[in-house]
Amino acid sequence: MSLNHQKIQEELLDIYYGEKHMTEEIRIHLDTCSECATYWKELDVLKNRMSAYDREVEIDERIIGRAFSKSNIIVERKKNLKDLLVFAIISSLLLALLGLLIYMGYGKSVIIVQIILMVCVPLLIPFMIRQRLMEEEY
Amino acid sequence: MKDRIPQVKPVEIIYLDDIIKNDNYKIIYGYLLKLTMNEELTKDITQEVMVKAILNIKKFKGQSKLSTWLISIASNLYKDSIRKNKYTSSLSVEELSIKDYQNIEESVINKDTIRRMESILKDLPYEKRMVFILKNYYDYSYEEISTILKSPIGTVRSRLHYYIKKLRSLI
Repeated sequence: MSLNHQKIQEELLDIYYGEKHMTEEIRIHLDTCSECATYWKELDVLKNRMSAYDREVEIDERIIGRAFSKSNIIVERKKNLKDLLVFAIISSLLLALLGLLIYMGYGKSVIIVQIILMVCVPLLIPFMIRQRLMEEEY
Repeated sequence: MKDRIPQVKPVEIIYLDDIIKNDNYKIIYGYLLKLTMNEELTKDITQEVMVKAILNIKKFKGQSKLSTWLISIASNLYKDSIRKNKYTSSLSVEELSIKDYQNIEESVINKDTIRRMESILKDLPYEKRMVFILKNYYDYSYEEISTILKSPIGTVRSRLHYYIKKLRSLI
């Protein structure tokens, strides 16, 4: 194949796939050159043969369902990880604050506050449960 | 749709809805089936594509077509599966729709040609196969293919030319 034919055939391929426009020069060449005209026809044959792979696809709801379930699991896992990270940071800060207060000599006060909290917080539980039940009712 | 995936904005729900509707599912599945020539692998990657799309729907700004974005995800996931050596081809020729052939003799000859084509296509590099599929079946421009596959336009063009040359030798 001469360099000219090769170049024209490369152009023809781009034209066939809509990347370039057919020029007058190439049209004239196609009319006169059997080799390039055969190449042009072969592109059509090739497209037809390859259409055998283009089969009708049916939507599989199970794949879609599984995709949504998997996405939910991943979102949930990410949320749990984020919550764990926030919990770890807040606990570390509180622990550091307590350590600092004890270091500064407020150890006794810290223990008293803790005892008060340990006694008072459980007393609030029935009110919290009542509040939650009322919210759920509405 | 909102029940299926939490924490999404209304505009994202529309995109999620579009993933399933408007033939996007069919495009991803068809593209992957031609690429992998394997039903099971196609189902697995299609599911993975949808998972990725659902999780990253916030990143899709609507600058390109949704199908282009999905094909880009599918191509990346297929490349990953190749790297993990998941790839095996087992698409039966009988499963293909041989619709254009008039008689049995012609159908047998064409099935034989397709078998030969398939065995050669499998041996060709997947990057070239991707370019051919996107161009031949989905009519994407060189520029769009270059964006999807993150390759220069010149490379896309040369891959298509190489692929066509190989296919022509089969006819």
